Amino acid sequence: MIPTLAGRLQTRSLIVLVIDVPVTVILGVLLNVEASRAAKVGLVIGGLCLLWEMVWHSVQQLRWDKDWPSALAFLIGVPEAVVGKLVLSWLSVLPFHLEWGKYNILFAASWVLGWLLQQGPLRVLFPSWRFEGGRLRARRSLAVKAVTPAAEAASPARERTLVAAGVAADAVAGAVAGAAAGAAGVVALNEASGSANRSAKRSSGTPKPRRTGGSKRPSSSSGSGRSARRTPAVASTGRRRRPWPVIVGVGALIIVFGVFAVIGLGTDQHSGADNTPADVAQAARPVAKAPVAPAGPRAQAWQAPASQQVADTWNMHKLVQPYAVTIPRLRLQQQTQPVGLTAAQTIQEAAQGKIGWYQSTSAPGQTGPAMLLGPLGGGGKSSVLGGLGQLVKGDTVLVTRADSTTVQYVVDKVTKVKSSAFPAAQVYRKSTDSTLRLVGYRGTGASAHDVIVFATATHLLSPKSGP
Amino acid sequence: MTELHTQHDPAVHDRLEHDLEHDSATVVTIGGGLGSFALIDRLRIAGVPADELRVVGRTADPSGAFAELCRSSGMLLGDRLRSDSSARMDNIWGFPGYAASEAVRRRSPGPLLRTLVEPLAAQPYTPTVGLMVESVAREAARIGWTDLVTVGEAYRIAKLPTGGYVVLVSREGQADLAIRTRWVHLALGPAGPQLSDVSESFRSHFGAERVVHAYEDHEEAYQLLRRQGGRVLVRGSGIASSRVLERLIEDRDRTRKDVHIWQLFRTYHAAPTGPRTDRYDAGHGFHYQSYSFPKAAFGGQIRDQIRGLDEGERIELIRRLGSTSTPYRSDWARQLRRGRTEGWYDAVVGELAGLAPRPDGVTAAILLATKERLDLDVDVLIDATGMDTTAAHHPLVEALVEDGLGELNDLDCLRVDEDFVVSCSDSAEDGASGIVASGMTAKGAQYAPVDSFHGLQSAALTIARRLSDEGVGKPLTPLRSLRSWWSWMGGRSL
Repeated sequence: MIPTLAGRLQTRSLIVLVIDVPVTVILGVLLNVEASRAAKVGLVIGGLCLLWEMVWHSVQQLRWDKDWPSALAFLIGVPEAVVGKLVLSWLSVLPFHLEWGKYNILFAASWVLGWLLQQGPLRVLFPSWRFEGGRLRARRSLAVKAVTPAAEAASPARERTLVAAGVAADAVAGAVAGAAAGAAGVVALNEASGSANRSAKRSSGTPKPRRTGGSKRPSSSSGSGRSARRTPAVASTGRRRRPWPVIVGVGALIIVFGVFAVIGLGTDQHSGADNTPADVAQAARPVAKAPVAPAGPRAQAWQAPASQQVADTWNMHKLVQPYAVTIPRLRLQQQTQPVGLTAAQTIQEAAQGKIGWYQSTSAPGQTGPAMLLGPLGGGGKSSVLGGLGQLVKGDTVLVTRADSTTVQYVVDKVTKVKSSAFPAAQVYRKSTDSTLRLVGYRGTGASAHDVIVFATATHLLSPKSGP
Repeated sequence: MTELHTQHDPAVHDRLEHDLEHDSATVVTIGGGLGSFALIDRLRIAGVPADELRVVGRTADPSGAFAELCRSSGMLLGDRLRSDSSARMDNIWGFPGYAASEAVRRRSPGPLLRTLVEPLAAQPYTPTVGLMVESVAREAARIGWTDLVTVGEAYRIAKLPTGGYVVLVSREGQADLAIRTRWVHLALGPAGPQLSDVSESFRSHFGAERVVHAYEDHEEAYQLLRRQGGRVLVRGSGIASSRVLERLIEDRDRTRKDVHIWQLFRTYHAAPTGPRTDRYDAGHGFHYQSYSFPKAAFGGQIRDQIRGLDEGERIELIRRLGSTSTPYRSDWARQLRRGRTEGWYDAVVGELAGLAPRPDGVTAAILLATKERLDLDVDVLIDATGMDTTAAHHPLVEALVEDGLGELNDLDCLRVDEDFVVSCSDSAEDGASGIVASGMTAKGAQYAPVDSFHGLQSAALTIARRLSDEGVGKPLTPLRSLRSWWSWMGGRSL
């Protein structure tokens, strides 16, 4: 969420109501603070928060893309905590004084919860929230649509004034002065740009009693308390003005939320893993009739050429695109090409003369099965993988990858099946080894047959670095 | 179908006369890609029954076209998109984001931590193509997408005098289909790769072997350079060009062939300019930006600003903010730095003025920014100037405008109001029916990055809210939203 001023105020008001006040009260009771006093602490901090938002809004103007990263949203808690404490001590004629330790716990708990709420759960309750700069309800249409060029031109200047006022005041005079300046700036900004931002105007009006009230501390504190209570009612369209039980209930609900999210994610991942084989089973409908193979000679030994050496390290998690397939026994060498699914959910065919690597499987050299496929010939198709059925257990298949390394596989078994009985579960079965499924297909319809070569990677070869 | 308004068009009339199949629905979405998916997903999760919805598209797979583009441009499933963790196509709430899913899958908190500290302490997290495609497929299965899809090409939308529309769809090997509907949604996506006139005419005479486009399959070009080395001209400086450069340099390092890379910039951004608070990052010609627009255009102050402008100013601002840019990634920057010091990478600033064939290559005539002319002999020209985002290049949109059912704006895309309802000169507003558009089809709307994942979802929410006002579906109130989210988390099918 990238906040706008109105969005900041609305979101913060909601958080004060459903998180800050309930959390300080509950924790306060646990820490032996009177409930009424803890509630006042929550409200004062909440009220200050609204003023702070104006300061932060002006700081945001210094960022070129008007972005507000999550880390910043979290870190601004530090100055808010410190100033909050100072203000509470300053008001200590009233029974606001709390020891640092307890205050820190109260503040940190409500701050972290409020921040977490903004990282996700709020998006669920208010789907438009993240597109509307933090407003709880999407705006239907702009009240003042025709922005005159003059006003438009004027507003950047106002914004700059606001920045200056907000920042300077913050640094020098602390929160109260900063907030007042910020509020004044906002009113000016609103009038200038004419942007219909009713909620912002109203809430920015709330600090007024404090200024006019002058040094009368009691009135100022209760003023800000009231403001915090009133503003959200406006901001969230008067819906949640209800008493404690509801508020506490909603707060608890939201806490439970995060836990659900974590649990739910686990199941989410699980179901995702499950549905691959079934999809793919349907997708992989390679093909055709084939002469039943084996009875072939013995496995052919293969010796790595002198220019290659066994690689020292083999990162089986790294995805490296396959470049070519070599099968020494067949004297076959073909380039590969990544393929996906067609509109009919079958695997795409690679370009003429190439072997397809079905991208949704692992890449050669990665853990898990890598599936490469091509036509066996016949039916007007080139025989890219012709003779695949002649391979026997123990033969070598090599896949050269785009980074010049070669994965050496040894054939485990060769099967021929009707395409209608394609053993998807076996082919796509996960493994911790790096395995290869080389599928040749021929024919269409009922006569479609596949030859499937199952192989397991044994070595990774890399070129010897020459002088 | 005699009451159709199409008698004046003999071609259409003839087609209607013979065997036409009929169907009816409340909402028909045309496009069948991610834009359609976002809207259908939003309507389904708020309880609109499947038999009121229809999708017309070229593939049955909502992310099919997108995945195909990625593949053509050389991106594998593990490669990262230029997108945000919360811009999650299969989840209208954006929570949990892609980063959370990836963290669970990889059993590592890395992606989540990255989202927390980006962009201050780390480069932003971006999801992979595979994660996005897989999760869309899962959500599509959950909402019953395949039952809604008609694979075919919508070639005409006609207004019915009784209110509502009829959408005519031609299908392969079957009779045409006429779907009566109250609401039509258009999310047609790009019209194809964007080719300049120069490249276009060269290719029509001499073939597309030496002048390739980054969004078409151009593997052959890389193979050629891998085999024999050579000179290559990359045109453009956006995200597509960054990927092309990355691939070229990786190949160069692996094969150790001498490949000289020229990059043609139209505008050269030497350094950041402007006042400090309104300055984007730039260097070595590139305009660096994490996403296609400044972040606040996706849902912050700039979004508000754009909403407040009238059309002319709005389009002007959208053009300016959305100008060509590419994210800064340290590995890309390192590659290019090496290229500059070792002398095999050169930047050229200017316009491509002409192309001429030569044996084993092309001669590119470049009109430099200094008004001089440079003739560059290269083996391959890779055009990386992006996609054609002009909606009017779709025949369907053209027909729509001709029939007075829609209007074009200055970007030659459909003019829409703040709810993405297509403005229409034929204004018999009964409120109960209409045409809406999102994605590139609605570029120039009151939302700048319409064609981003965020934009598609934002438009889907807005359109669905408007539809719920008109009695189609229900608004996504907090409680209903929570309930739908809960069933998403549980993976319960609708």
